[in-house]
Amino acid sequence: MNRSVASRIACCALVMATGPARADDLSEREFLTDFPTVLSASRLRQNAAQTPQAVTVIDQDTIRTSGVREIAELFRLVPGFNVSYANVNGLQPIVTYHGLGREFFSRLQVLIDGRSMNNATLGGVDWSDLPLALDDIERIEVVRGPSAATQGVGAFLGTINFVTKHPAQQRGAYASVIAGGDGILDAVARYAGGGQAFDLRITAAHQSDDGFRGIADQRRLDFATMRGDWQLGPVDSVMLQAGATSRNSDAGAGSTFDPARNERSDTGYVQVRWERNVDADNGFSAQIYYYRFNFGDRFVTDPIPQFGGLRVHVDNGSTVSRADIELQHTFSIASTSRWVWGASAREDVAEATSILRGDQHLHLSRLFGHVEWQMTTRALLNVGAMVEHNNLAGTHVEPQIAVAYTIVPGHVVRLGISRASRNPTLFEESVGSIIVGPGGVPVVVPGSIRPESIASTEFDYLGDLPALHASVDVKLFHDRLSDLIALVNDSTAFPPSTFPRTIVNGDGARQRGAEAQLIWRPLPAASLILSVAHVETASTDRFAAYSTSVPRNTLHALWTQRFPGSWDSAITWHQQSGYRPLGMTSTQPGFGRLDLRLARQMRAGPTSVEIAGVVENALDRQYTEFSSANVARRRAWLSVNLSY
Amino acid sequence: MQNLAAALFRVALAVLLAVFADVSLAATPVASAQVLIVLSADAAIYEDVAQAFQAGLTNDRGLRIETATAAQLSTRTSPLAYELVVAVGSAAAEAVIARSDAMAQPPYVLCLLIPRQAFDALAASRGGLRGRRISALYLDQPISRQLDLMRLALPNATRVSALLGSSSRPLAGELRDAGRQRGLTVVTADIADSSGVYAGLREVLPNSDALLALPDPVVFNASTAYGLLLTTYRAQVPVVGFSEALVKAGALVGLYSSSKQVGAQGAEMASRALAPDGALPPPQWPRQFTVRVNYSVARSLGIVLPDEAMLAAALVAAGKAP
Repeated sequence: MNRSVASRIACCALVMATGPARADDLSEREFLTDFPTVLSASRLRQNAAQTPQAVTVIDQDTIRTSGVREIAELFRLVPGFNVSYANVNGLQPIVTYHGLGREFFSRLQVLIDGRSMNNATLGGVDWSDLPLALDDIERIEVVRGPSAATQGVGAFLGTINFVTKHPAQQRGAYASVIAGGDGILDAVARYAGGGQAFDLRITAAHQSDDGFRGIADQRRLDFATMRGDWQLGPVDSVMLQAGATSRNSDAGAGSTFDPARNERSDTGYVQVRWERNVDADNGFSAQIYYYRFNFGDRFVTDPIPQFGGLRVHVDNGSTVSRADIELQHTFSIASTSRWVWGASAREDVAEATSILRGDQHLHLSRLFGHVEWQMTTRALLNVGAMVEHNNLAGTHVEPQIAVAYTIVPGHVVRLGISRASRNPTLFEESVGSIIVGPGGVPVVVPGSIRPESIASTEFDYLGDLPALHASVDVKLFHDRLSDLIALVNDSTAFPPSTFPRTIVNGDGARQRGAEAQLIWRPLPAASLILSVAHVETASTDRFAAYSTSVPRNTLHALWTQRFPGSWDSAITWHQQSGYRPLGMTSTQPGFGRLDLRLARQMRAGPTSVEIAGVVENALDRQYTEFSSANVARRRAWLSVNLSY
Repeated sequence: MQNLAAALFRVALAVLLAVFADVSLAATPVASAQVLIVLSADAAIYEDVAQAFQAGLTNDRGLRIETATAAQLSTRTSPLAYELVVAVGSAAAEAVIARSDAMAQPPYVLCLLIPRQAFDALAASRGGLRGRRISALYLDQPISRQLDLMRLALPNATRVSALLGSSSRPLAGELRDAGRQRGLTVVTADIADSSGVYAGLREVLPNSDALLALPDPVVFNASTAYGLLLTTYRAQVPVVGFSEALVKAGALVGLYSSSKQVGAQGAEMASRALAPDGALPPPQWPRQFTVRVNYSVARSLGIVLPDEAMLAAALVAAGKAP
């Protein structure tokens, strides 16, 4: 049985040629056929007890049954995460972990199938431009903690990793329409098909809504994406993805310097990935992708009285492109250790007349490796490191180590330590900077900001309680952040911009607290996901109010229940205390919100239909999101999904 | 020197035989060749079985063993002047049985590397085994053994599902009986063609703790493997597979007999047929088998599994239990 794969295939081909009868008759061929390595290292999700730090997985069932239509809303269910909506480049969701975020960046790494979605200029994620239909998501892996060694550049406070479905799972046609109040109109059309060794998915979508009431923040996004998967042989496969988005958003406060207007963003990407999976633990992959983001926002201010009625022409537009190549090798030694190592190189080119001095180039290369070593049957060691070099911030090393110990099967404790840094974004590099010296005396030195750094310690308990049909994940953490980069509004800038013009590198912060998630399935037809977090932040707060930038307490609960007759229901409760996002003058008060969903599935032959009704903020608590002008109200919509 | 010359001659003869097998055998049936191994095709897997068979054969009588392929056999016009013909693979079985049918005194025919259903169908199409000197070592594992493996690997599993295509549908009754004896609920879905696999999975997965993969060209083929293994994995329903390749692709555990094991047990059956006053044993299940575990999948699903050898030993013990 150890003959080469090629000879086995030859054998199968021969059997087919000389086989006893038709191809759909059973013969030894069925026992001898080679199958591709379907569940490879990149497709297997890591068991929570095997990872070096706390991980939350959002699966398709949760995505579907929760009834959300905005991807960012899903992260409310992740302990320690916070979701809000700000007006930057139009209405944008803001997703942060342990706060410390503002409208442009969140210190999180966001990946779709390994493509970094972080904006090269500002560092944040343009959530309103994501080329991702909810139904194309296989699962979302959320790493709660600094994870550069395993997740790559930018994984400073955490990582969100979207894994999309293999088109082989989606064969057929699919269409969905969501329509509701406040201008909500979403539509998705998808076709997936393929043959023996080829699978293809094409998705086209439209999303639009009016945003918050009384504010010019309407959004309209159209996108088309494709994914093709070729199985070249039993071990080799190639994936190709490409897509484009186009968004129109209303923006502007309607003031003299910020007139009401329309902004437009267009993005496009192409990604090719080759994988050789000898088995789940041994393989090689190479990936290259190109991403381009173009944001257009040109306007003329109203006449400015102080300037004798002069109108000023402003161009806030920007163009960013990213090319990235990555090689990775996975192997195991004996059955006790699994190794991953690799290298990547990236070039970001950004052009933004209003905020950058000319075209900016970021060249970044990294070398990474980590090992998961089962030292004894009870002790598991995870060690990893990433060495990163870039042309603006030099070289640094980001190590990580964790030891997990199984007390009794199903009960694991883990101690993890990691370090990570966040390089200044191109924008932060480019603007005038103030470096705070050891004596606390500010010195203005443009373009020489130090990277931020974090040293994180976490202690986790992971419990699996099959008798109670429950699993628990508790994380206690203590993080020290230093050299935090702050953006300070400079009142002397003219015309006053929505973008702060001064960068300060001075504050540190200490965060500690506890967060937990409970997943409980008391009945086969019912499940509860409960997430709670308590975060305490201490900071000198000299340049930004870090200590109040995190909701101290959050609680999110999603109860789903199936009823006979293909009825599905979900009740979600969101509760969080008040906080003040960085750069804002007013606090976002605490709130409680109730979401409801009721759905019915029907099936007729190969066709299945799902009709659902969702009420968001059912109690109509009028709380604010990010800024006091963004008042959330009750919204409702109906959705119809059809798959054939 | 003489020995060398004789050896060279034998080699030359073997080459000639191989090249002109049909012609030379048709002209002069070799009386001293008592065993013929017929391979379904000229491929590594059949040669491996033939090799293991020859290595395991008790050959006290100095029997001469020849090898041919099914294609060579079909062009041959002479009767099969052998005591025993070993057919390796379904195509060889069909060719050999077709040829021996016409004979007044057919040789023993032992079929190796053939699924039970393929053998039964072949035997039935030729009027059954009664009075015939045909037997087989089935390639597939008895369903009871597959369920025992599932229970050893997943002690908490009480519901097992299976997708049944046209080839595996006849096993439905046996599957249900074997399940009932073990206190398992068996859930099955009938699959008409490969495009129905997903609908079938949607039907059975919500009510299964494990999926038993039964070989069937409609259910498990290169075009369904991806969707099938990804969908079951997503539903966290482990797959119990029937081949090494399926385990490597993503099944949790698998049970199969290797070419060595098939050859060895086949040799044992043949030795009994060739022994003085011996007879060909009736068709039988493989006694020797290999258990393979995909530990990566197990780890990801949070399943702790014992050593492969321990599982195999426990399975042997389970098979012997009353």
